[in-house]
Amino acid sequence: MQKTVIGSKKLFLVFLALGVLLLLSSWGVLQGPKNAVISVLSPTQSGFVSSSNIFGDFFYTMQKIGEFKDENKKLQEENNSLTYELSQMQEVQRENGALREELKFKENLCTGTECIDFKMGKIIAQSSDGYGQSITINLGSEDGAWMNQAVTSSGGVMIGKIVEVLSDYSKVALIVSPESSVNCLAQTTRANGLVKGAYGMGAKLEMIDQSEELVSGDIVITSGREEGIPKGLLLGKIQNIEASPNMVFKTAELELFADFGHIEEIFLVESK
Amino acid sequence: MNDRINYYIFLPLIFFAFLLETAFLPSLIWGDIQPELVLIALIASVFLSTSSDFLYTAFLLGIIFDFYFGASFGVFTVSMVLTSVFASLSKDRFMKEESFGKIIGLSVSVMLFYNLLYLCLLAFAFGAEASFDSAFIWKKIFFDSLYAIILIFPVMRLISNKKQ
Repeated sequence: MQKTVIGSKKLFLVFLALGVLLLLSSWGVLQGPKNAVISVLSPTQSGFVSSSNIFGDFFYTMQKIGEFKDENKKLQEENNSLTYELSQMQEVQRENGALREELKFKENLCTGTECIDFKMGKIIAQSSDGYGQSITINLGSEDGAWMNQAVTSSGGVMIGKIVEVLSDYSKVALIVSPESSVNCLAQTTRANGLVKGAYGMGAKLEMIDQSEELVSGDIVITSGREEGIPKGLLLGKIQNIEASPNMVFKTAELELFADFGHIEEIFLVESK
Repeated sequence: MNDRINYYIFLPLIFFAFLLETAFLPSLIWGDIQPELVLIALIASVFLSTSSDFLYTAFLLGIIFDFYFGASFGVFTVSMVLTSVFASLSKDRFMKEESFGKIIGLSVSVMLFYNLLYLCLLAFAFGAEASFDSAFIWKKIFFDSLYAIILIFPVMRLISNKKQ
């Protein structure tokens, strides 16, 4: 077999070009070329993503068909209980409004997701490498996207946040990516911490003070302490709590609500 | 230009592999290990190469991946360029004649090299914030090698100029 001669000149050229690009990237000059490359490839990629969703849904349905019956029953029960809770909450809200009126409350307070706007977008590309996971979406600075803005799938489930904004596109680090860390709250115990992604390990709830209580199954939501991420976006449920007196902080694994395999539309969250 | 690679097949194949890897497969097999189609095509071209033009291919592919998904700019580019150099050197050292077994063995070692290099670069980029799951890493290396074993030979046959 013929040997390959790796020219040192070629190798030098490649690493020189890489060095220049790294420098340009650190100065933020590469935004234009990045946008141009993605613009050229995105129409074809969009087509592939759409057809992939059709195939994906089909295979998913085939795979899950056996589980659907049980899940349907469970969901019906859950639906009944949620309807009851909703009616209770509406009562509380009405009562709350009346009390506020009585107290002459002047502030424009937002309850739940009432003051949050969502802007819909589409996925252009998804990273395939299993270590760090990110997606590229078709909304950029010209559409009002900004750094660290929360991105959700339908139903207020947070899937990630924007880590890079180009004029027409943005890169979103998913919550399972190590690039991402989100300030959060455990809904019942109000324990405050960070949801961080880890290579191949989903996401973990970290930096929970030893004095705080964690309960398995408790729902974790965003705390609203970060700019661009409103309070109350759903993240996941607490599982496998790790706590020992030797550790400075408690940690826990999260069962995420986001189904990353079946995200059809994404929403940029604009809190007012 | 290289006389052993049919660029009329190789370039569209790389483009198609990129589209499959970034836009089609993630929805089908998300969360589990997907085949690194672009890398497999790149390795196949390196095995067939008699000149070092593959460096430019590796560089351009790395840049495109960095544009799209680079957690830290340059990680994909460095990984792909060094992996292609490793593949080329290994081929010269161990593949005196083209045999199925040697191609498979080298593909597996190149995949292992790529994964370890990529993880080292990620750890370097993220420092103390990086946490790794060793079980997942070994699973990824296993599946990457498996996909390489399945795909490398057909890809080499497809892009090769000489019909054997």
